[in-house]
Amino acid sequence: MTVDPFAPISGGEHSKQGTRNWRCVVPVPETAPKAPSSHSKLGRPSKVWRYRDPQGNLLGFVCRFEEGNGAKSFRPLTLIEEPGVLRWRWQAWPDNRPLYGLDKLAANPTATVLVTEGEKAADAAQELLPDLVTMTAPGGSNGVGKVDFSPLKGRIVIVWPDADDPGQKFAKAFCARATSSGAASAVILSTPKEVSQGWDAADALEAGWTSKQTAEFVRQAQETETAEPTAPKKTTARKSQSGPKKNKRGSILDAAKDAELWHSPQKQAFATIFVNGHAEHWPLESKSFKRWFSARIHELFVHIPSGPSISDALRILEVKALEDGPCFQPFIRTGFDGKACWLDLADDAWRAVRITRHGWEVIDRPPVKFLRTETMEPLPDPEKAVMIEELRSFVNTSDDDYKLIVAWLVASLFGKTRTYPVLALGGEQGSGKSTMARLLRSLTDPSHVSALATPRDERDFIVMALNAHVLSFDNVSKVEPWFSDSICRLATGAGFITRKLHSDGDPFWFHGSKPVLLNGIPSLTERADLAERSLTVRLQRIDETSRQSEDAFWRAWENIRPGILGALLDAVSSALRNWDKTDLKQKPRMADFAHMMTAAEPGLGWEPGAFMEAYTANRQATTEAVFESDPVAVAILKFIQEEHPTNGWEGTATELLGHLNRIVSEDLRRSRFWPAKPNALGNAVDRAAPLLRHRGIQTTKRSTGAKRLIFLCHETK
Amino acid sequence: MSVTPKIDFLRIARTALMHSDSLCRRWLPEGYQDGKEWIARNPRRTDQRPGSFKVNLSTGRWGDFATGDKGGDLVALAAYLFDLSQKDAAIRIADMLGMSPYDG
Repeated sequence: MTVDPFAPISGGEHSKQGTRNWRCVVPVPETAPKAPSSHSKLGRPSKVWRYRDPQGNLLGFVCRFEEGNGAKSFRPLTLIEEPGVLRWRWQAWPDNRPLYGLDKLAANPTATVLVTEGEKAADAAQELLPDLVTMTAPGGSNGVGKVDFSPLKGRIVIVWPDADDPGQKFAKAFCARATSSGAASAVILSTPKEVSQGWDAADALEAGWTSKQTAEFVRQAQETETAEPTAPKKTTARKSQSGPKKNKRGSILDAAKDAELWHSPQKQAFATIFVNGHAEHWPLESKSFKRWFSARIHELFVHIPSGPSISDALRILEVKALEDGPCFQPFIRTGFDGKACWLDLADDAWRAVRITRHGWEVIDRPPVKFLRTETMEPLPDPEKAVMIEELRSFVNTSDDDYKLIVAWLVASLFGKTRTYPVLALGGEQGSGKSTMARLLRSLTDPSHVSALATPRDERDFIVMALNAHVLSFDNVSKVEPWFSDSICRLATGAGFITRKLHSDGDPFWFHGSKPVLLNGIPSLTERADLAERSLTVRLQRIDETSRQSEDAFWRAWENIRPGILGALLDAVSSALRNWDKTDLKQKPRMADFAHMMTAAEPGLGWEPGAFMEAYTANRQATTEAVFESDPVAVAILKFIQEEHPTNGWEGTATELLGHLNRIVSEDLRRSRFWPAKPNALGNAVDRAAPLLRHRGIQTTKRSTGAKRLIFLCHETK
Repeated sequence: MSVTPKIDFLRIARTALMHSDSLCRRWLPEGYQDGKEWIARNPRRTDQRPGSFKVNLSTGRWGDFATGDKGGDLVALAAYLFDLSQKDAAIRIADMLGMSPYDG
């Protein structure tokens, strides 16, 4: 745009083309005058080639004239606008000259481009090689500098030069410009030795070459081509070192055509690739997929693709995966496909165990999409015919607690479940808590990083949840409220969402549930909701005499581990088998878990009801401890039992606080655990309500417009 | 006021119409001709691609079908594009074309 839109219209500057008062009009409008059919000096052209833009609109002509002495000459013919008039002139496009064949190029967005010198050869080559897009640049080797090469971005370009020195010059110039404009690759064919000077595709066509023959020539010539390096440096023609190559076609996207592209419900793009006879599933952005993709490109094509061209290709693949690919639910370590549970062994052959109601077996090519994370270690091949009791000697707990540990293991391997109990390992110094955590993890989700430190914030927590099946937190001394809430939500299955780092609003999220293993907690009693979802297990102190050396312990463990895994899988199979038959009379918190374990009991060889007994006892002990640690609940219980044992009590929070303050000790009243104001008491009553219910006291709140009343009474038996 | 000569909008617009294609190329350089119409991106809004903003090269009528801005001649177009009053646009165009903007 010129600075002044109202510069005088005649003789003014029309464009950036210096002081010329004419400009070339492209594309040629329909209203343009008719092009001349002959040249004033050269006469009628023997051949006219039309240059078109990608949409097929005419840009201008190149005409060939035969001169008397057998010589030929070419003249471009373009539409020029002079002040107030449009006319055809025998001159070339001033700059950004179009390539010949832009319309074909646009119509075949992935085809390889074969470049010849001259439009005649290009047409001939097109006839011989219908799969390729044949193009040329107007004006021979001297014109190459003025041609717009941007349409060749990302394309594979092969130049078929004329068999003479100018031909080589043109080919070299063309390759250099093509690569600097972002062509995926540009190579020059070597012409056969026995041909005449100036031999080109048109001569080949005249000589009666067939398409097959030409394709073969292009392929063979390519194997001995000179690759034009992107960096401008002197190169001598050299044979490429790699072995025989496949025929090149299309773009580097073709390298990914063996990959099955799909996406997850979270709109993340994945590819399933086949390596050494097994399928692997990777996110498109993962290093593994990029490595595979680069290697495939290198196999298929001569050149080594640049980083940017790979990332461009990955972006395209991502769109394909999201828009055309099917949607699958990816799994980590355990999964459920509607009929069977699956457990990923995470070995090099990508095998998995299929667990059905009839038993389990290792499958070589599982149909479910298991993802691998960097830290996952393989599980051993499970072995049959081992009793779960073999595990007993490794677990230093009471019998009931041992049952709960087994229950947690079964739940962690049960791919169908939506909720997992939290296993909290307690115990004094030297009771082997960390060892136990590692041992349990080695049965469910072995990992290079078997124990995690407490995460700093929810984002860290999400990252952990995305990267493993079992989250094992080691030496948790203090449970922050947010951490406790996150664990609760993860145990029962919830969504977590935060902002992706270094992005404005891209969400980074996780939805689902994972088994959690906590170890080293003195007690969970301050967090009643977490305690409700937990199996609290106390490890017993290992006395000095029975303490084994680490080595011996782990050696013994490795021997038995495959069998234990097998026994646990038997339990999972049993859970599937008895799932519909099982009916719990009372539904505790984590009812799904209780249901599953009751269904799995027969597979472990336990008495019916053995698990529920242990679980109920554990929950009662937990509730007891939680109750004791809630001063408001204790005070209300005392208040009702001592002062209103029969008909209950009703009043406002203010009144209740007055009564309770009478009851409790001075020290407690001043501690920070005691509600100082009535509104805080109201909340405390809400929190205490489930604890009081266990002690047979009902709390109800009701509102009578003027007052909000709290009603406390003994449950009517 | 009565001494100020009247601007002959019609004549200016008619004359401008004779140069409609070069004016459009100059003012809307990223456009293209499609039959009798010049199709361009509207520079007054963030217009992604040509298509909605069209100028009829033979009548001078123009419009942006996305926003509803439209006008009947090239003077109005200049006024719209360069944020001028109709009068200023007419005078500027007349100067550009080397004619007197006033009637008589």
